Amino acid sequence: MEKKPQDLEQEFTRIAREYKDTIYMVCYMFSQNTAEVDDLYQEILINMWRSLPSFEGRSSLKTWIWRLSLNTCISYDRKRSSKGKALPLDMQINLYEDTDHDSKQIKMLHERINRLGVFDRAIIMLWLENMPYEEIGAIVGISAKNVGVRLVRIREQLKNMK
Amino acid sequence: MENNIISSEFDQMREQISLLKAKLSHQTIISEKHLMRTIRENVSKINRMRNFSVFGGIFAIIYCPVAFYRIGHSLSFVIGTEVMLIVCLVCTLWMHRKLDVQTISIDNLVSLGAKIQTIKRHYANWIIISIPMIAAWFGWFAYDASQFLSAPIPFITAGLIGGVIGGVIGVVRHITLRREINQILDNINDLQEH
Repeated sequence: MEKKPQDLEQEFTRIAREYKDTIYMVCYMFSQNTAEVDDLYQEILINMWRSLPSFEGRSSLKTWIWRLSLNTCISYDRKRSSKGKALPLDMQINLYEDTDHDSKQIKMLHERINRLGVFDRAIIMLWLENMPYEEIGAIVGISAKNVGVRLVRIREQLKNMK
Repeated sequence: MENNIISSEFDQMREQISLLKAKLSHQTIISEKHLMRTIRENVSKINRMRNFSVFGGIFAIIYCPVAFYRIGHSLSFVIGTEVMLIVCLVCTLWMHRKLDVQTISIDNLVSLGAKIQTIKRHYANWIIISIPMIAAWFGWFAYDASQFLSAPIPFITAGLIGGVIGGVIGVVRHITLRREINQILDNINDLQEH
C-alpha cells in the first residue's frame, strides 16, 4: 500500500535521525576532508529519500542503511561532486582538525581503514559493527566463509602498515 | 568462531570505533525542516539537469545542421553531421547514465562494482571511437568549407586547434578510466578468489 507523502517524510526524518551516526561514520571512512563528508552524507540521504518508497523490508532497516551508504560511497564520482553546495552538517566536532586524544585515535582508525581497498573497507566496518558473517557476506556479495578469509588478510595488511 | 579473530590491531580498532560512536552520539546533525528542504531541492535539481541535457541535445541536433546549411555547407555534409550528432547524443546520454537508485539500494557491493566497471568501460571505449569519428568529420568539414569559402584557412585552423585540444583531453581521460576499471576489476577478482 502506498504511503502518504507526510507519512513518508516522517519516516524518512525518523530514519535519518536514528541512523545519523552510522551514515556519518561510513562517510567519514570514505572521505579525505570535511567537504567530502558533507557531499557523501547528502548523496546518501538523497538516495535514501528516493528509494524509501520501494523499501519492502526484505532485509532489516539497519542492513538496508548500511548497504545504501556503502554503495553510495563506492559509486560516488568525486569529479562530479558538488563541493561547497552540500548539506552542511551542523556538528561541533571536526574529526579532521580536532586535536584531543580521542580525535587522534579516531584519525588513526580513519587512516588505517582509508588505506584498505574499498571492499575491504566495507568488510572491516561491518565487522566492527558486530554483524554476523552471513549478513556481511550478503551486503558485500561474497560467502560467509570468504568473509572470514578476508578478515584474516585485512589483519595482515594492518599489521604491515606503518 | 565468528568475530573471534584475535588481533591487537582489531582490538584497537574496536576501541577507536567506540570513541567515534561516543563522539557522534552527542551531536545534532541537522534540523529536520532544513533536511527535507535540501533533499527536495537536490532531487528537483537532478531532474532539471536531466531534462536540460535531453532538451539541450535536441536543440543542438535541430539548430547545428540548419546553421551549417545557411553558412553554405553542402546538403550531404549537413545530413552527415545530423546523423553524427544524433549518434553522439544517444551515446553521451548512455555513457553518462548514473546507476539508478534502486541498484544502489538493493545490489551488493560486488555486483555494484561490476556495474560501475561496465559503465566506465563503455565510456572509455566511446572515447576511442569518438576521436577518430570526429577527426573524420573535421576532415570532411575542412574539405566542404574549402568548396565555398574564398579564404578557408583561418576558419579551418581555428577548428583544428579546438579539435586537437579536445582529442588530447579525450585520450588522457581514456587512460585514466582504464586505470580505474582495472583497479575495480582487481578488487573484485581479489575478493572472489576463495
